[in-house]
Amino acid sequence: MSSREIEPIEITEIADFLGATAPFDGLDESTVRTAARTVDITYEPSGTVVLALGDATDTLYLVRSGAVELHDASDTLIARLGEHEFFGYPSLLTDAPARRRVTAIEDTLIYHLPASLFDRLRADHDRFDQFFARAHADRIHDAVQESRANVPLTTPLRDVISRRPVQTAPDTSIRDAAAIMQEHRVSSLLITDNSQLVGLVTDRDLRNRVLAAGVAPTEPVSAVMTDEPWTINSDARAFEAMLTMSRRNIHHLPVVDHDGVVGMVTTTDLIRQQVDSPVYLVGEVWKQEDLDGLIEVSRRVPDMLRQVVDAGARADDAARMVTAVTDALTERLIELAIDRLGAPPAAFAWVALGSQARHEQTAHSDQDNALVLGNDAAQGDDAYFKEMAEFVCDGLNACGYEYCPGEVMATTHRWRQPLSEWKRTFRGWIEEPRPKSLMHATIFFDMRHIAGNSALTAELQSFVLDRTARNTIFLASLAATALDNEPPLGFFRRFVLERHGGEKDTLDLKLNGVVPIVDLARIHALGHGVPAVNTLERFQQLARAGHMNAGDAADLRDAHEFIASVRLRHQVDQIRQGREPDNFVAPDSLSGFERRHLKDAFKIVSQMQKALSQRYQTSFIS
Amino acid sequence: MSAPFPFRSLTFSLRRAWYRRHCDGAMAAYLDASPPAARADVKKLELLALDLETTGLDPGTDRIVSIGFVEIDGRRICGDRARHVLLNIDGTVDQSATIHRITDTDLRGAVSERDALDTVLTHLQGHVLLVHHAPMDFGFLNAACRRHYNVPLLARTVDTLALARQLQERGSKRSQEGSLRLHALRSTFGLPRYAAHNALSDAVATAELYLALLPRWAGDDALPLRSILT
Repeated sequence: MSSREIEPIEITEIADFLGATAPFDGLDESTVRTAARTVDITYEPSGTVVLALGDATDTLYLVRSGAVELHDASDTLIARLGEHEFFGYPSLLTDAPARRRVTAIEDTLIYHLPASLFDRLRADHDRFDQFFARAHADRIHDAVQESRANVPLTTPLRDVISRRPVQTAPDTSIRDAAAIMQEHRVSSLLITDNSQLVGLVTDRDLRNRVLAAGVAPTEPVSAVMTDEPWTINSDARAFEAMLTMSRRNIHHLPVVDHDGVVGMVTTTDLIRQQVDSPVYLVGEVWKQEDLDGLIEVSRRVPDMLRQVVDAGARADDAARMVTAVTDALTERLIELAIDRLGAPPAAFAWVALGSQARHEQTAHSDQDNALVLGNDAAQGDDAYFKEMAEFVCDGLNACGYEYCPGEVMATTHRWRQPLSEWKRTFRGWIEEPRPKSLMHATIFFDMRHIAGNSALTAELQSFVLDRTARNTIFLASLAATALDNEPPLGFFRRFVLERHGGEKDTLDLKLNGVVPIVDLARIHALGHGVPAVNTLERFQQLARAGHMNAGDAADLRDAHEFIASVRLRHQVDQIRQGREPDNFVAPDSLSGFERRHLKDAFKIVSQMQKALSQRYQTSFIS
Repeated sequence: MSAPFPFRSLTFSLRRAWYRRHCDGAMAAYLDASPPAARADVKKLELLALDLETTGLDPGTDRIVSIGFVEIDGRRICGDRARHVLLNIDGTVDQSATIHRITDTDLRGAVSERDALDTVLTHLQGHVLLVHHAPMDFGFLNAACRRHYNVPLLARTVDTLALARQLQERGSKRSQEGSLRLHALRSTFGLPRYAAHNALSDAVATAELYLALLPRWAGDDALPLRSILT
């Protein structure tokens, strides 16, 4: 006989918590209170699977307290979420079953928001809608381990080649060779001698070099094959194979690894993987006959970067693509310089230093380069190379790769020396290291051959590695300089919290993010004579050779990839807004997800820095 | 409790039948509805987590000033089934207002004690009553029910304090003084701190504590209601 109906009311705790959670914090109070009235609560003890792969879900999940982990189908950790963070929205957005397994890793209180509420708020509030659309895109993007499958162009070649290599011996007759090709329905045949690749025959060769040339089909195939064909390593990415083929004007590229030939890629194999890509840009670079043309092409680099990032490329791959274009521009400028100046009077090697050497360029990279000349270069030859350096460096600057502020360029006399001088310079850095001078020299320890006589570069590199490995004093000095760049402690409200307690309103993703990891990789690589220059490859080789704990190496690789991906997205956002890309982000522009993972990444870097510091007792040095 | 199940169950039914003949209104409707079975798995039952604010500690002289409750469906707290009601109490409103931060605005929504009880009984039909420190709240509810319906409240009741105490005593040490307070227990079981403090907040806090206690009590196994009844 209730004379007064008592209406349901929202639970204050739910309303307050929602109101303090993005994107609900942007909604008006009455909307939040109405929303709170629809929320259910469950408690998930640590270890409970909250959401299994393939579960249909009609709920948006919000972590009220505790923590959960998201794993994909291959059991790879995708994210760890805490208070105020959501999951389940990808299924709501795409109307597909759960693609992540969600497990409570602490005792966790979860708020369930019904799909009907989610849909209504998205329809009524643009900001709310954008928040989840963006978060969804981010989480796809940050599913670091699975992105490769979505980006065919960055697929390692070993995953592109599907069949075993079709091969025969050099003394096979041309007719038999053709029969093998017919039987396997392939357009090319590898010629191997004791599993060593010695040549390649294609359909076109059979036409041009056999039929048209009137060669008897009984002749050995070695008579008409292409000797020592270009090859590519199975670790290389699909787009690198395309670059090589377009550069060499060939259509078949044998894929090799340390055991020999493992397969073949053809332009047709790759053509279906092509999107608007760096391959195209590099092809354009090679077609240009003057600087103006190169400038024109280089203007399209930011747009290419934006496209590959939007297509879901990993930061690592995006950086490789940008670097591939820089390499091509540099090479083409050197060719144009030689066209203009005549043949070089002595052997030379143009080397890239720093981020270009490491294949780690972004939309905002300076140029760093040097010239190594043959020891037989005469005094008078320098004038030629000075002019070449000026032409190339001016050209790069005009193409958007600004002059190095520290003048680490081939135009600087000190950085344009015969090999013997270079060895003397490096010996000085390595054998009598002074932290101050080393700080400016670290860039020279990331070196990669670009053009000219590669033997010069190779000799210098092995000279350096021979001397740095296990040279404790040098490594300790290098470590001391590297530890100057510390990652921040984390974030507090809209500030970056530094280790000494200071607060800054922007985060330098380069200096305090990427650089400390690059430094760690360099020191360990030099210390163990590991020849790789790319940071991720350095960690990989260090771990493979047992010089570094595999878990540590994997953690650092992930930290690097994550920080680099945040930087990349920041730069792409700037490009999209028509602004000049830079390395500075405001903490309040980062999502909770980014802040949390950045903090984790910083922690990893900081721990590895501490280990390095203890190992080399750096406190005694500087 | 040590009483064997059939005896206890029989008594409960007999008492319900007896009281049913002596009351009417919302209490009659409540007693007509079948109560949750003592052998049923609590993880599949519906519960009503409830908390009271009172003017003091004596059910004989003090009065209920507010009631908050929320329903639990198995292992899920249903946010759309939460109620909070303020009670009009003659004479003592001023004092209780200062104690419980009840403002004049709130008072406009206040209802009579009878209306409040009617609402509670309507929602308690077929539900297990869930409270923290049952003797206290039960004392007040009983006294109010006797005043308005001439019978005490008869309900299947689960007390989170008793559950927590038994859990703690299982782990050898006797429970510490104060460690069984609702908010202390919540932090023991990793539940968040709540700043707001009203009857509904505490009902929700109790409901969450119950969900946290369940897996510790029974893991994933079925848990017959009778094993946790107060």
